[in-house]
Amino acid sequence: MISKKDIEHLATLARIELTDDEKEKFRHDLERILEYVEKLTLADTDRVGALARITEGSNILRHDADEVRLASEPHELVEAAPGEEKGHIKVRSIWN
Amino acid sequence: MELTQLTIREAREKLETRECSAVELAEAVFGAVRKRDGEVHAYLEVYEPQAIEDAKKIDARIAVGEKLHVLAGIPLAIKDNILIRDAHTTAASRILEEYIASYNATVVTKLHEAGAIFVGRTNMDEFAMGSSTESSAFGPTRNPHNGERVPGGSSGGSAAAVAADECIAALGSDTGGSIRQPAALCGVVGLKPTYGSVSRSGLIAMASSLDQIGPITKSVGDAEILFDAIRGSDPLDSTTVSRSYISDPRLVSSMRIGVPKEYFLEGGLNPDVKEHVEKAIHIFKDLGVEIQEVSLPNAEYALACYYVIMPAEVSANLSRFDGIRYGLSTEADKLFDVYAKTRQHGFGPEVRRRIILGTYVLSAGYYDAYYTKAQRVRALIKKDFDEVFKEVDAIISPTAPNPAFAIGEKTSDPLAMYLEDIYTVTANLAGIPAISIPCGKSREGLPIGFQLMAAPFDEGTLFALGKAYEQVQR
Repeated sequence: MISKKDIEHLATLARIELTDDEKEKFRHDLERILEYVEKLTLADTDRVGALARITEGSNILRHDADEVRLASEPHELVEAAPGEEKGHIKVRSIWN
Repeated sequence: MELTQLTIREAREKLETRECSAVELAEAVFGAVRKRDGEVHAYLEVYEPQAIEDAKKIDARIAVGEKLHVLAGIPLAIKDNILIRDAHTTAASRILEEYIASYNATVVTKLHEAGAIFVGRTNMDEFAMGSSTESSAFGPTRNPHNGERVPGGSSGGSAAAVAADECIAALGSDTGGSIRQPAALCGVVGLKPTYGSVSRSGLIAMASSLDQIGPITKSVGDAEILFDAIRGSDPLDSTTVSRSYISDPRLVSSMRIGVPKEYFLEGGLNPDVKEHVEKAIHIFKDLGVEIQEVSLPNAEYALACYYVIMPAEVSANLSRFDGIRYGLSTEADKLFDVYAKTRQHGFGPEVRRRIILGTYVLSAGYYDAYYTKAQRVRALIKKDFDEVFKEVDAIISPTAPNPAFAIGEKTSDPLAMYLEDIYTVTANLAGIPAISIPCGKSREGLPIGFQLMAAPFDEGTLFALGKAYEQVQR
């Protein structure tokens, strides 16, 4: 049902590198789990819509304010990043 | 009785009558941690100096006769996926091993304001994924009743800390049973509040439509106190609902408990668990509660439904851990490899497994067959509960199908581990409140818990029934 190629495709989508052993283990696990959840096809869902939200409510907006107090200072957030230069978060080039 | 064995109520009384001080209480708890935690490993880190400082401040306020919150000076354990500003919060994962929280979770802010004392952060399954606390990147926690057994999960550290008297009470989080199942396996009380009752701001997200923070305590009354302290609508979490909570004034003899026939079918339920849950039902009957059989026809789909929706939401929520803004970052030449290698090295196998599963059910071509289908089944499950709560006030079931299993027993088979959640996932899918209460021990001396579920925002019924049950047991 699930092939090694499927797992490789999923690993790319999920941005997770896997070793060959891991690919086989996850392929096997995924197949077993999907076999189990297959039973959902037996549920009669013709007359219900998808339950996307548990609580009622509409969009909640905050008040306009001259000054918004942040929970953290910008420099604290930048300092938490693995790569930093001149107050900016440093990353590998996206063109690579 | 040792100070560490007190409940929140009992400790509050002793603090108010000055029979003990907040510092003495905190010191007693840290003494217990020193004595037991080498073996139990409930905590990943303790905050002794800060806690003693905070306790001194509480004592000073008590000394001048200030009227304080019921939780002031009470030592609490906090699960390691709840952010405490300037402290390490790791979700028991290598990917966040060095991460320092940049803000307080809303529940932490509330507890700070109440004057509660934080003992430390507790161990958990990595990113709350598991039912045994074995997937923690920093070693398992042991069940205080039997060191060869698991404490349950994912809030195993919090449950073990309460059971071992290494704190007075604790906070955990529950997505599919992660408060209730470890509470049952450790012989303590655990409550998952109605979805939207407690802010998730500052809770490291697992599955956003299922997660709730809740109390793990030694008594139902304590769960009520801690729940009342942490609940509330929050502008930082738009899924929270403004609702009041009032203690249920009705007598339990005017209440009705439903027993779902689907949950007590022959086979699949451990005989000790069945025996003790049935005993609990008899106790309620003797209290004058009306017991009636009810049906949850779509209960058989709940676990499958959960294991599609939860991994899907997990795969989205964990995409933020990519080695860019915080946490572990593996060096690589290409940006893609920074992501891929960081996540390979930073996440354990269970986390990666669920992300891959979630990615699959959300991917093009499979989305409708799996995710949309599961969301529709979720609507059916919720409808089942809406119907049943027209007839009864609460539903009773076992919390977990088995008492605590051995460490290592279920780790090689993910599906076997997932089946531990069979009675607990329904409450998360339907968004209803559910509590686990201890009801005895197995022949091997392992705790067993029963679960009560109620209609949305009806925690009052759970506390009323729970307290009545506890009275009989005393």
